[in-house]
Amino acid sequence: MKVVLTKELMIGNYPKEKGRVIEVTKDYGHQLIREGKAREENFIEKIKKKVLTKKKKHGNN
Amino acid sequence: MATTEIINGTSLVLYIGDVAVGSATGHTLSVQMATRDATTKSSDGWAAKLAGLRSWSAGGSGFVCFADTYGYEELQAAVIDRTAVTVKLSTEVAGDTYYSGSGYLTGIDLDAPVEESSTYTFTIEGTGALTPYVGT
Repeated sequence: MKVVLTKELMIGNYPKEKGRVIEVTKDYGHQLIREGKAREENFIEKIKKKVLTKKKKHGNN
Repeated sequence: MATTEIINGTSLVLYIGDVAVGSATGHTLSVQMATRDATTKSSDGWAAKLAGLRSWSAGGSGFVCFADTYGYEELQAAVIDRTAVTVKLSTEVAGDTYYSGSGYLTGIDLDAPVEESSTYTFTIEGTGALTPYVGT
């Protein structure tokens, strides 16, 4: 899975800056998210999609 | 859900310590078993063998990109630092088999031809068992 770092993270002795998209295993990705060190790459897009879908439903009502 | 068709090589990714190797173009995994000689005078002139040491190695190739999270620089550092790494070859799909083990990066070669993309190839020699798991 791809995650976006929300904090600087040391990977292989090299610091990787906040905002970097990294591909990690699912387990490690979820661990980073739990620890607040990263967020899912498309998390914001997912929320936007949900909000837009809900608004559309309201409009139809 | 487990993949039921022939695995697309692109989906099978090599992770080192949970991070995918960057700008990768190919990965390999090799498992061997050496045999030991057991030929005697009663082998009718045929070589007889018994099972011996098992070993595994992994490797890969990719483009050199210094911006990679875990690319040429990090792989080369692992050779120089002589650090053992955890290797995982996985599709990251639930139900699919993946392979994991510990190993040492034993070599990395960089190729920089004129007016072509720079590439690298690396090899990892496993220490201990390579274990298959099922992804969850």
